[in-house]
Amino acid sequence: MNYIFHILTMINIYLILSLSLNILVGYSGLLSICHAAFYGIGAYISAILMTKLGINFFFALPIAIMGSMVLSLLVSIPSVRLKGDYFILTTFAFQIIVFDVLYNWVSLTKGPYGISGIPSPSFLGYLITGPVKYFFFSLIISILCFVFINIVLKAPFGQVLKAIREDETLAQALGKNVTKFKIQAFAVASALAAISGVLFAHYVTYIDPTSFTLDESIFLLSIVLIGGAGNIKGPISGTFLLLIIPEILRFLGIPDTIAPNIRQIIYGLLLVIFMYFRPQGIAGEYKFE
Amino acid sequence: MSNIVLKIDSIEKSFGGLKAVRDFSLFVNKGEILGMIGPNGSGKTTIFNIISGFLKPDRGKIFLNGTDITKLSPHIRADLGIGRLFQDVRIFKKLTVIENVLLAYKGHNIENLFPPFFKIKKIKNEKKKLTEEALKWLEFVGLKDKKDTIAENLSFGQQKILALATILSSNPEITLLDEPLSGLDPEMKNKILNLILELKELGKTIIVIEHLLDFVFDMSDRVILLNNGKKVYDGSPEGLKENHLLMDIFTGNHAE
Repeated sequence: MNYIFHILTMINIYLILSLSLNILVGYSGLLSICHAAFYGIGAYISAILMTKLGINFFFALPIAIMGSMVLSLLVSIPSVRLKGDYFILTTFAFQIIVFDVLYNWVSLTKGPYGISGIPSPSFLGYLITGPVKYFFFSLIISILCFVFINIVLKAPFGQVLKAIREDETLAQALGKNVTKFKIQAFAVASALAAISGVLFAHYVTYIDPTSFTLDESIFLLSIVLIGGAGNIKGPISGTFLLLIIPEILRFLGIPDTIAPNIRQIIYGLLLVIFMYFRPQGIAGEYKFE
Repeated sequence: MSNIVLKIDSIEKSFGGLKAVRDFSLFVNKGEILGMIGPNGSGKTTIFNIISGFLKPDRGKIFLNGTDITKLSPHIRADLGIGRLFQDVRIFKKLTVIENVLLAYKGHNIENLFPPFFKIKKIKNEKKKLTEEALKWLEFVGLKDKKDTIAENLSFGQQKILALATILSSNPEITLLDEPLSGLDPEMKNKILNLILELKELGKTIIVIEHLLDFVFDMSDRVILLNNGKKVYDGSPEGLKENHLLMDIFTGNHAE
């Protein structure tokens, strides 16, 4: 039973990640490959605040969100004026830098050893711990995030993002401040990624930099592209599909030594097949060209 | 205040060694339709790009209703009232017709990120009001029954009309139309021509670039002729028709 709740908790965490990445990829047309960096930033800020300073979870969470939003300016301001490949390269660089900082700033992040003993969140003295309790907790948070994303994207703000994706020049000619909107989209997506990071850190109680690598960013991008970008259904279906595949492999009795490799092969194959036969993904509406 | 909407004060623009626009000055009166003609490469679209802010002039100044807009970026100029129809039809392809038109409104107060959470009612009302207005414009151009069609499924002519409706609904001080008739069948051409004439009745100020001289002469109060980035004629359409030397520039019979 705990096993099922564990998987459902991970799905909650990844739903927030994929839906927030979709704000950039599907709505704004910004193919970002540094989403795991913000996921990591959220996890580390909250883990450090709680283990070193003993700050309560519900204070650490908003600080992690703010921190991630501020750091998102480092990548959004220089990169939103760039287009296509150059934009992707900037996000790539940011991803690498963040990983290197987490890995090498040993006095703060304990580098490759990671941070262990991250306390579980407690709410008015009630400790949220164990897969079942944590599942309901993460469910509440991911529903709140889902509602937030839904409101933002259905509002005129989301329409403007789509317009920018479709034709930046026309959006400008109609009086839209393209730069401002892209920076805001980046900040919102990073804030939400940080929430997932915080949820993750306090769930597994141990984090190290290898959870927040370029591979992870590409995995998140695969979720959005295979599920489908540009609407809400797409990333949700992608999250379920890509998180359940490894569990199916487990039941097929594939030995642990080769399971990760097979998983990678399946993900890669899926991505190629989808890009070739169904570029809008399972349920998406926006095709990358 | 004078009734000059747009004033261009001796602008110049070069691309490398090529002088695209030379010492170009112009004023446009309120309610006037100004035709801009000239052979290919004479700098017409470059001038539009400079007016709408996508290119910066090397020197010279541009004034909209007396405000210097030379250094402002395109979206601010659009806010101040410069509307632009692009030569290559630009629409938001994946959005519906009505969504396209709605994006033209200057709803900055409701477009921001956070109002959706605090001003739910206000946004709803505003959206309703804007939708009614957008539908009015779609009716004006005859696309009302297609309002929920995804824009990329419209025919080329309809896309052009949609682009026009989008710009009109932003209610610009001055509208720049870059070849509104090109690539259309005769029926559509007449339709757009009639739309432009109706706009004139509404008192809109328009500059139009067009190659089809008959249409330009029909709709314009005044025409200017460009050659190699220089203005060589500025006056009534009749005056230009009678001036065979200048007409030769346009038709390419440069044998003197």
